[in-house]
Amino acid sequence: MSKEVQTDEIQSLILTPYVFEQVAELAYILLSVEDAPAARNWIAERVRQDEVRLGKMERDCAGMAKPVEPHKVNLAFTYSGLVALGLDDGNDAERLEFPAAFRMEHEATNLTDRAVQARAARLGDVAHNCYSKWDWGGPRRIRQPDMMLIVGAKDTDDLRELLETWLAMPDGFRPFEPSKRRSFTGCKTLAEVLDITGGTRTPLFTGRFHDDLTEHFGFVDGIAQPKLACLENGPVAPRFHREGGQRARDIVKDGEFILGYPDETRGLSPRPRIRGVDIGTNGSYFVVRQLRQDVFAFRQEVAASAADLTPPVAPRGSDRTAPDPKDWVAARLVGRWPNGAPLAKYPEMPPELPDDLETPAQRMAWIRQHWNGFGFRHIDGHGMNCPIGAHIRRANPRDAIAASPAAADAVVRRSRILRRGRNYGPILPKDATEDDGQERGLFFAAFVTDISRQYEFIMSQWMNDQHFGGLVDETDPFVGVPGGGSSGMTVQRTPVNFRVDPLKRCVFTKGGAYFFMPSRTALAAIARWRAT
Amino acid sequence: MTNYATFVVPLEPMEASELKTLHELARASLSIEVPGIVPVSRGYLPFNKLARLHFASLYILPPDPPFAACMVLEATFDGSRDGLIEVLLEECGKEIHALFRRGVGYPAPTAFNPALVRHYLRHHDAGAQLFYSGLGGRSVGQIRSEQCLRRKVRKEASAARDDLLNLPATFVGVYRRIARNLLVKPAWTWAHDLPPLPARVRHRGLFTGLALLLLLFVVAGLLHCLFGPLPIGVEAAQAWLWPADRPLLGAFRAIALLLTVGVLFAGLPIIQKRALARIEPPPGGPDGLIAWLRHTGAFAVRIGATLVSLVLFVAAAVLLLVSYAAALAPVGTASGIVFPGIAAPAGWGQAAIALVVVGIAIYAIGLLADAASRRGRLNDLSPAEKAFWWKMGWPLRAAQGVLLFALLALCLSAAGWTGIAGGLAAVFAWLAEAVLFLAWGGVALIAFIAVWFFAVSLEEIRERRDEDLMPPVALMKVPAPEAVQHEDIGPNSYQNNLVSITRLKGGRLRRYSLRLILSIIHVLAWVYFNQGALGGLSMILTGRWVMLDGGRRLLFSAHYLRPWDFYIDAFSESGNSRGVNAIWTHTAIRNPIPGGPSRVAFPPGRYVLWDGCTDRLPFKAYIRHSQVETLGWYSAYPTLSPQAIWANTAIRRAVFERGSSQEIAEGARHV
Repeated sequence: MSKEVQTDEIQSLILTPYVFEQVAELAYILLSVEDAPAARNWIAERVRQDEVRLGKMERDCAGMAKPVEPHKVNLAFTYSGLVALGLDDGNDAERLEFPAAFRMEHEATNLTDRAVQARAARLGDVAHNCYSKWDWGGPRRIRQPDMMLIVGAKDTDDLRELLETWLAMPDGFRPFEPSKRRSFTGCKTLAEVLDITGGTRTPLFTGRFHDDLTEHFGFVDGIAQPKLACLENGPVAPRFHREGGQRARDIVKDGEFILGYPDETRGLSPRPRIRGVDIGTNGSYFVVRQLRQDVFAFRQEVAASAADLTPPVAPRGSDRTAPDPKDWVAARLVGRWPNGAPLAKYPEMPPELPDDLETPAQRMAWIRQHWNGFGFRHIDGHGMNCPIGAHIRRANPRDAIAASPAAADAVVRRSRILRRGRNYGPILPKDATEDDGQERGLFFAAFVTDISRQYEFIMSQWMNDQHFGGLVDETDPFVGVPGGGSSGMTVQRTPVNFRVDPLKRCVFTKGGAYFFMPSRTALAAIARWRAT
Repeated sequence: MTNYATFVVPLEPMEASELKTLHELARASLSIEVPGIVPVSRGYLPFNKLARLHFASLYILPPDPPFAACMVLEATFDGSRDGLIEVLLEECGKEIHALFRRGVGYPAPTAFNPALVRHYLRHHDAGAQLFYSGLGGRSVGQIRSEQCLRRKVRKEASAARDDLLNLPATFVGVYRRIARNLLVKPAWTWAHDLPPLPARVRHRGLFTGLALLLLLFVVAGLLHCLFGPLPIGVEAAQAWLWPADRPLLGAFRAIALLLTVGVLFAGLPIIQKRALARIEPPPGGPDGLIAWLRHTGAFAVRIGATLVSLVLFVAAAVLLLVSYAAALAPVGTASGIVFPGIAAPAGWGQAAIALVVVGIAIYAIGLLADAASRRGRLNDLSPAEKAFWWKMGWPLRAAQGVLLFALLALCLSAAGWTGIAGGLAAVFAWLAEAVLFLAWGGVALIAFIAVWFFAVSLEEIRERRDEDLMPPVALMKVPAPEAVQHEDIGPNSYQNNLVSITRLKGGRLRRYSLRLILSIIHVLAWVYFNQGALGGLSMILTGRWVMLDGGRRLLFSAHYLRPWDFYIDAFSESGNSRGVNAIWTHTAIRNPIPGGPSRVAFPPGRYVLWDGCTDRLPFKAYIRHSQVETLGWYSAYPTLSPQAIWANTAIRRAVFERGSSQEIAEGARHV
């Protein structure tokens, strides 16, 4: 019997993505420590006042979330932040014990360091994504924020009010400034910071889900999300329920996302310690990447590729019109149709969603139930439906990587991530004829218990692997970076493969850092820490 | 055929500064740049001129008293070792001489004499106790040429796609056209005439089976020598099972027989499954059943299948027991009890009908079992449901096996006392002898493994009390030498080389165990793991395990796909963990932390094979601290992975050889 998860100790962003109307707007605020004792006091006060959002979101009997109390925050720290709070003077290796991947960004001395370059090559942080082009974060101590504050609100006005009155400016902290311009020095409240950044650049991002559940390129996002075993009631695998299979596949042991619990191999991921004291249990690592999306360029690229294509035709006997060639090409890159239907099951034409789904939550629940129960090995082993190099197939190869489905399941279960990212910036209208120059993209955020084994593994071995699935010279069409060979992507077709020519890159990494989100007890321990 | 050599030359005692100079000399020897398919050597050893060389690496094992420092040059190549040495000395004899002339017993260190150096190198080739190659027996030329061919085929395919009006409707059509276009050019005719991969790679199931049979025969033969011949015939069997004067021996033999039957029950389904997997199912056979299983009410199917398999199993088991009783009873008394038609046939016709009926039953159960296992592979099921269907197939196959076995026993018993025909009886007797002979082998193997487990477990318990040996947890905080830590960071972003040296914990049991385990895996790597993956691990291009200094040290060297972290993770997380434990649990390394115990053991596990390396961080620390810096390495195709090599061959076969539709589709996905 596995250990019962202490949900009242765990910060709630780990347990729920806040897909409720009460938290439609989520602010990810990056801060730097200015005065360590005052900062620690401020954190201690939040814990004492019960202002750290903990536990799982309660739902009423109709399945709707209960109203969220607004005056609560989530807190996460970088390694630099923990050092800045005085938990480590940087000299004694015995004091803070964190995995090398987490420490690396703080400890790297310069970008020409061999280890830094190797990491960059592994994660695809090269070429147009190289660290020198990032706005913030990366393996440079000076560009590392110390803390991330996550605040939820109903809408922008509500958020501004919270940042103006209740939160104002946390004592001991100042807005994080990666450059020397000091743009935020005069800001008295975080609301002023929000006004300056517009929620689209550091240090304050406002993230939201679009009403149609899509990300900026127009595809429904966040379908294949693992579920925490501790939140799933009843038997894990309801037998003989057709969709039960995928449900069981998506339920992943708590230890893959929350430290201190058994993971898929029944082992425990290493927990961080301060001088031998465990501060990891009930916490998690929070991987953050700011991915700027050039939507206009993407549409142009897709249109150019679609021009080379023989127009797709509707299947015989169908009374619907054939899909738009642009959608057809874009769907091959993603691996799903814009409405979320998987190519593996519906290669030529997407089915339509039922009309009776009213809210986005209902639509997502329906999509997850009906359009997530598929594998690739048996129905699409050769990539004729969903190309082998498609984004969703690289990010989650399901049963198509190892020698057997069971082996593939074991590998994939060890490499899941719990996504908590949101879109930032305004939507570019579908009929836009030119780029509006606005910043927009995905504020990617994910919880893992082993950064190297989960996030970095996916980026290195699947997204940026030029040999993925026997392919050569191609990486992920969105977040991959081409290596020595040409880029582009092969779309497996009969009688001859279709090749999407070298893509102009449309996704740019503009920043990122590894955070640690501690439990309530660990937060209190960090807050009352006195460096000796 | 891919060959290997490991030249290990102990160096004469020298000052630290001299050793450092030698390191620098070796470090400058090999370095490659990868502008295209063929690499360019930047070091002074022009290995790219050695057309048959796949990989080479050079390193110096540091002195570790009582063992001297050793210069090691390892190579993976095509052809004979002598051929390699010949070419090596011809192309870069003087450089090799400079590297090895400080070796103990090196002939004429002042002047280069090719004949003496050749003899010296030959004498110092340590080979490998276990060598694995993910190349499937391809030559350097084939691998490079197929990579070029892939690019060409891709271009041709793209041209074919652009020519919409003449585009054939199928893969086959497109590939025939590409083949026609290419075969008129002399540069590509080789693609048509390439010899097939070695037979052991193409028919690995057959070779594995033969190897297993051979092993069983060897063990059984050994037992045969020890215990004498096995009994044939009813009376002999009876006397053998219940010797009047030695009841204890009888009991032992009865237990052995039961174990044999158990092993057969467990083994038959496996063999059968493997055999069935190679046979295309008849139309409407298992697939029809799958469709039926998919659409029929699941509950009814489940209950029905369970009942059917249970009934069959019980029936077959009863049949078996009764037929055994008949075989063992005094002559004549069993007449008419079991299947009178067969036991005392009224005529050949009746016996044949009975045999056909039983045969059909066996086939039908096989189909049902196959359908159940296939149902378990369907994607819309959860792992638990899949496991259920897999398990469903198991009793069915076991029932089928039992039925086969019973039929055999029945025929034997019938042949024994009715004397249908002397010749037939002799054949059955011979068959029975062979089966029992093999069964003896199986039983002995199981007994041997059990004793080995017990002995090694005792050894492990004793070692845990040893104060001079500590677990590797403390190593996690000690950084490994810089050169080793960052060696997978280089200009080539694909491949790398890893070298690790460990000492055996001591004792003959460890030494002999490791030798045996390495030999077993070596045979497995040769006959079974020869298709690009070593037990699911496809990141190794070549790997070798060499026991040095009379078996007191273990050298491991691998040419693998970067990065190091994920390579080691794959080692500990895939199904290989037991193999990794079986090898390295016998080893320890020197403790780099001063003041503590002198040695660090491999991460402790359970029952020898479980856990151990799955403790990732201590395991990684252990490997890191056992590593030796690779001073230089060479690869003939530094941008390829085993998957890419296999994919290239699939493309060539799809285009130039008339393969099955499955093979053509496999090739098509990569074009």
